Amino acid sequence: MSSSRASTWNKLGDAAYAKSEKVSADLVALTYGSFVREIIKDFEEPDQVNKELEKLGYNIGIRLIEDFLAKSGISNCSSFEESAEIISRVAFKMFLGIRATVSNWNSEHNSCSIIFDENPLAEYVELPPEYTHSLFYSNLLCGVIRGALEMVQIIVECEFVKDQLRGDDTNEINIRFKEMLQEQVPWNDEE
Amino acid sequence: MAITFVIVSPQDQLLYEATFPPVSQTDETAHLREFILFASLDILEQVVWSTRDFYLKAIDRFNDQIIYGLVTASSVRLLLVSDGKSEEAVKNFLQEAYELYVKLALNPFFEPCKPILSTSFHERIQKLGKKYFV
Amino acid sequence: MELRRFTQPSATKPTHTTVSNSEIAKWNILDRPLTRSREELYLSTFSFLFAEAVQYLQTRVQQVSELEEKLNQLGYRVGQRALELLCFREKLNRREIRLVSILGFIRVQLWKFLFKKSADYLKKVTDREDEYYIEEEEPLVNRYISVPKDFGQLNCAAFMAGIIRGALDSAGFTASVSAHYIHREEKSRLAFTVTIFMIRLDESVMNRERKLAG
Repeated sequence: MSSSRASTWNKLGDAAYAKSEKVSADLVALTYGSFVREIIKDFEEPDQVNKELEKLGYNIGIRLIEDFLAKSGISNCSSFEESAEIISRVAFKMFLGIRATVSNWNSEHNSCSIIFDENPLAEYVELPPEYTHSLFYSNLLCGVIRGALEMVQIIVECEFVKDQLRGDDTNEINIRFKEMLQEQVPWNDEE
Repeated sequence: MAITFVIVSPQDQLLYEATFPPVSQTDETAHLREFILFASLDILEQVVWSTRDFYLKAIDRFNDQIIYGLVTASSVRLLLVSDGKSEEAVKNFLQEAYELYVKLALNPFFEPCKPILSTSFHERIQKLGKKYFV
Repeated sequence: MELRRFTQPSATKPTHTTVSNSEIAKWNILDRPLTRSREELYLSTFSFLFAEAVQYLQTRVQQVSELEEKLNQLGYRVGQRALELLCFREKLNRREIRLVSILGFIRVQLWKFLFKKSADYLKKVTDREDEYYIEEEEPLVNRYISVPKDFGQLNCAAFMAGIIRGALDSAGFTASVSAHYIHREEKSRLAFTVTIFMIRLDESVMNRERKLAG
């Protein structure tokens, strides 16, 4: 990973964040909190809540990618490695106002972690004891990443492995590359 | 010289109670202070709607026990009954307790009119009590 | 034609790191200052989140009125907290204890705090002492939401109505609050639509107001 590319992406992230129209960060944090509470009311098990948050995040991700590509000035990303860097340096900055970093690459280069130690979604949250070991409050983010990458033909699995709300010192999302989709060419029976 | 601190909802439900220094259940003076606090709730209601200030100063008096109060933006009442602690210490304690309450109340998992069970909240209130009163 | 797959092997799941049991509250919100490092976020973050919340709630109801109720409830929890947070952060140390004052506070300070601008107008309904409305031409939540045709008159600003209701209730002014579309005409403009947040105060509030008025 060349540091000049890294710093280019950092700059893109900063620029996208700076020029975007803003809304109160508290409005986002409080709305997200209220939304999570609503989902918890509807589902009994924390595990089901985690799954629902991921699914809702996926729905957001598949729409968000367009906005991201348009506003960030990024026109393509050709590899899993590049996309992980772009997510942490550009997307996290643009949408959450924070700089995340990528690390923990495995030897095959198909798994890495996005690490961030501030989380605007979790700003005022303390998990009650019954959820401390079972709920991933910000699981929405995993779905957003999965949905957005799917739209650029990269299939991944994404999950929280560390969460400050659960007592860890930082937040860490592990992304595992599954496959790259080739865009399907329509069948032409005249051939 | 002991203090009882309570948090009361706008509907007069007791949400939290702490004593400095911590006392046993059979302590008579603790019961007396609790009684005094509850007896003052009617006056408290009047005071709350007679001033815009959060800090209510001394609301009521019973012999040498004085009840001080602070009401938050969401009408939650932080009350303290003491027998002669400096008002300065009381005011500062209430201000810091108020800040802790706000942080607690912002939590999406917090429900305003339910008893406060958070151990981290309790620990920090105890620390505050030690800081100002013991 | 089958999908071509690249030869990069897919990764297997890592084992989870064990969460430290010793003191879950190692990083505790009660210890962090309430002043923010970051005041603002990209509007789209909110829009995407809100649109998804509307979608989600839609799947859990049968009728538009139920959806508005759920949105109202979603906003209610926000309003309760926004009031405490705003008053704390601004170090106001004072509350509004009169009706017109709290309504004005909501129209201006609370609105600016959440939406970066005051709401357009606060008006009392003629001939009624317990009904007021706050008017907003372009509520934030409606800017990027398109309501599907079968949802008729749904106004997603029911969420903002809930915020108002939550703030009022917290402050001791129980009321019902609902969002409605109203058509307006002005000389220099074509007819346009605004949203009004209709506020009806509870009898207990009016009783107290009368007493305080002396």
